[in-house]
Order: sequence, then C-alpha cells, then structure tokens
Amino acid sequence: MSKSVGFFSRPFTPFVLGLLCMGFLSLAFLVWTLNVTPDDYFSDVNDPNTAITCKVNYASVTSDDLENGLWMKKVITTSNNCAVFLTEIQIKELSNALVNNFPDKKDFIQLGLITLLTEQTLQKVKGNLEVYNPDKIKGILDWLSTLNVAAKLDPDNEIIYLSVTDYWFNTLSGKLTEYQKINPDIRYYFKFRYLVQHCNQALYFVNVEETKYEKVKKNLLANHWVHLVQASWSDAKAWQKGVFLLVFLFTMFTYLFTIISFVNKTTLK
Amino acid sequence: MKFIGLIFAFLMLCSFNLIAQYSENYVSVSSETIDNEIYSVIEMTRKDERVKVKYFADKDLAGRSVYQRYLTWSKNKSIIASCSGTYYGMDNKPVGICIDEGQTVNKAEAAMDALVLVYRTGGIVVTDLKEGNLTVQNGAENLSLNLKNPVDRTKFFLWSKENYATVFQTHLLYYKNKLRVGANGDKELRERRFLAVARDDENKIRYYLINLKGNNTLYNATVKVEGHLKNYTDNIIYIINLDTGAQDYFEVREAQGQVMSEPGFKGNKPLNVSKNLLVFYFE
Repeated sequence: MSKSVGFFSRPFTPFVLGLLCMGFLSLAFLVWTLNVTPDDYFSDVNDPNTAITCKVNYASVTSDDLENGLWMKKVITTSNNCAVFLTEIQIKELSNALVNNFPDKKDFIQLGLITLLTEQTLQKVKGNLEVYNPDKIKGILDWLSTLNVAAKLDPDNEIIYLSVTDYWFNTLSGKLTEYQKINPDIRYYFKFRYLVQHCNQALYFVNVEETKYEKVKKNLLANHWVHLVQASWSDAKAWQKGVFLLVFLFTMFTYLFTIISFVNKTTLK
Repeated sequence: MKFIGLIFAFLMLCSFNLIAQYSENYVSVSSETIDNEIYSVIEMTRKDERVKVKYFADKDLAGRSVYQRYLTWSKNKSIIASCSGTYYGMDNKPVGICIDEGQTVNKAEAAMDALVLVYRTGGIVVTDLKEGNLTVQNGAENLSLNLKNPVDRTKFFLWSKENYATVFQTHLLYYKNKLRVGANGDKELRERRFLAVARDDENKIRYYLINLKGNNTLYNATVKVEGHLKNYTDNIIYIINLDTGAQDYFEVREAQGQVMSEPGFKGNKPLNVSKNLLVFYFE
C-alpha cells in the first residue's frame, strides 16, 4: 500500500501551521496599521492667506527709541488685522531709512529690528502657536524662505535675516516636537510630516519620538532584517534569550522528529 | 642563523606588546562593586595636555559613517576609551545643537542644559545654556555669547564654522555644586554612563568617565555617582550624561592597548551601531 505525500500530510504540518500563524499575524498587523493611519493622511497642505501686509512707519522713530529698543507699536502703527510678519522689502526699507536717519546707530538698529522680528513678533502670534495649527506654521515657514533668499541679496542686512530665520526655525522645530509629544497621532499626518521635513531640510531637526512598535514596523517595511535581529538580540534580556533558544530548539526537534518518523515509515514500506 | 632570526622576530613581537599605549601617570582605571553594582571609573588628567578628547558627531561630507571615520582616524592613535555621546532621533540625527568640525549637523536646540564644546586641541568645555554666558576664543579676543539671544546664536554658528568647532548638547546633571536632575526625570531603569570634570589640587582639569552597571533612573544614578566621585575629588565642576540607549557602545583599553573585557568596561552594543562617538586618546 503506497502512502501519498500530500501538502497536508504529516511532514508539512508544521510548515502549514507556521504559514497560518504568519497569516494571522500579518492580518493583525495590517488592521493595526490601518487603524493608526488618520483620515487626512493624504490631504494636502493649504496655502494660508497672509497677504495683508502692515504699513511700516519709521518717521516717528527717535534716537532714544533705538537705544531703548525698537518697539513694534512705533513701527507698525496700523490697528488693522494685518500680518505681523514684515516682508523682506519692508525690512530692507525700514533698515535703510533708519540707518540714513541715524548713521551712527547701525548696531542699535540691527539689534532693534532683530528683536522686533523675533521676540516681539512671537508675542503677537503666540496664540496661533499654542495648539497645533499646520497652516499657520506653513505661513511662517513661507515667510522664512523669503528672508533666506533676502540674506543672499542684501548683504548689508545679512545678520538680521540670518538671526530672524534661525530664531523662527528653532522656535518652530521646538513647537513641532512639543505638539507630537502632546498628541503622538499627529506624527502620521501629512501636514505634520511636511512641516517636519521642511525644518529638517534647514538643519533644524524635529525630535520625533518613535515607539518600539514603530521601530519594528519601519525595519520590517524597509527589509532591514539583519538590523532587526541584531537589535532584538542585543535588547533582549538573558531570560528572553533563553526562552527563544528553548522555542527554537523545540521547533527544530519537532521538525527532526517528524522527518525521522516519516523517513522510517517510508523505508519500512 | 634562522633560529636567531626567529628569536629576534619573537622578541620584537613581545616588545611591541610591551610598548604602552598611554602612561599610567595620566590615566588610571578602577572598578568597585558596591551593593551589587559595578562602578567603573576611568580617571584622566589634563596635566601637560597629553590626554585629549575627540568627538565624531555625524557622517562627514563624503558620507562616511562615524564608524568608518573612527577606524580611519584611530589607526595611529593611542586610544584610552571610547563611548557613544549624545542621543539621536528618528532621522538618525543627534538631538539638540550639534556641529562636527564646523559642519552644522543640527541647529535646533533641545531642552537640555549642557552645551559641550570639543576643541581641536583636545580640550572639552561645558556651558550651562540657562546661564547664557558661553565664552569662546575668537582670534585674540574672547567672545561672550548668550545662546538664548538670536544675534548671539547666529554669531555662534558663524564662529563654529570659522573655527572648525565641534559641539553637542546633552543633559547637565550636576553643575556648580548642585544636582540639576530632578527625581521626576527619566524614570527608565538602565545602565548609566557619565562624564564628570573636576579640578585637582594643582588646579588642573581631570576627566572622569564613569560607568554604572546596575539598572538606575537618571536621578538615582547621578546621586550615586556624585557620591562615589567624592572618593576621587572634592571639586566636581560638572557631570553630563552619555547615551546608553540605542547606541550603548563603550570600550576601554589597558595601558598596553588591550581592550578590557570586564563587564563594567564595555557597553552592550557594537561600535558600528554608534551614531556618534566620544573618544579619549593619549598623545
């Protein structure tokens, strides 16, 4: 009597069980991945409308004002709801006019303008940054990119542009780090990733924290198997390594036992 | 004749092994077990400026990893100890301000108070960012900077580029006779590693690289290490934290150059895992 060696016959039983286990695990993993992906994952970034610019007034600025610090209310006298972010043209105009009026106070003027465009401007928009508002941040980043260009075109005021850009990038990357600590889900939002990327490109790295599960997931998707095994092995405690070895040896023994018994039976026939 | 040649070759081989990597007058290594915890201390004096520090913050412009850079650089160096430096984030970039030989790696300031400057001359200086009184040498004059001020920050980055400075940020645990870490800090229990700097009786700087093998919170480990260092010095200037997380690399060499194999003198991860590296060497 000949015995057929089918797919579900004894030698393949562990293999089939392994496949089933892998299938269930993959399904659970897929469901988890879909659950953590937010609805607006594929949504796009809206360009905020911050086109309303303020009127800049430098006629009323006195020598004492410069020495005591240039205050925003002296320079921006309008009370309308204009964007407080002065354009690079306005900055250049303001700087040049003040330097012409007070040629011996260039350092004060630069310092005053930097304080005005950093700390004082931040006070004005602080409310917008208290909670995660990607469109507002995008607006500031757009403003910074214009200043970055201006730094190259207007070497006389380079220190102003560089300092202001540095201050805002540093502030925003810190804010983004804070937001994702409060609500870790935003790390998967497209807009958040876009903003993080923008800061990272400018070398202001947002410290996005990664959970252990995310690390495993990332390495699985990137097929970094060697790293995964190495990292898991070095992170594992002695008892975990022991359990792994026991399970591994048990599995190997089962395989061996099955194969030997199969071979014995086939030989007898 | 061949026999004499062989003996000569054997003696040469032995003598190479006997040539010290570093002088024990400048470096001493000790280990002590207290309450089932291993305290390993490498004490190094800056007297005569023979003990030097080098920091590899990130890949170089050619894309060579820290591991590759270290292997090339260390070929003719007498290494005392090397270990991973500061923490790194998801992008494999260091957390906090980081500059590698003038090349900016990360400009974003992290919520950590210690800014560490590693000079090309091999010296290391730590400043408290909260105090805002960083002094750097700019040619003949000293430049006093407060990195909380936007203008000074810009000046600092320009200065670091011009002077090929190496800078990184980490946690300041002890400074000016005060603990700077609270009991509510990092609660994770793990092996801890610190760098402490003190002044000796001759007013010379001494470095202490301390590895605490037991599982401790950051606060507990700092308190224990500060207490343990009292056996060595009464004049600790600061203690900073070194990463023992994802890149827990630590290696110490004996005076003859052999790598020490005792558990207190080695980390849990291999060198190639390290994203940054703090190296103490002898010249």
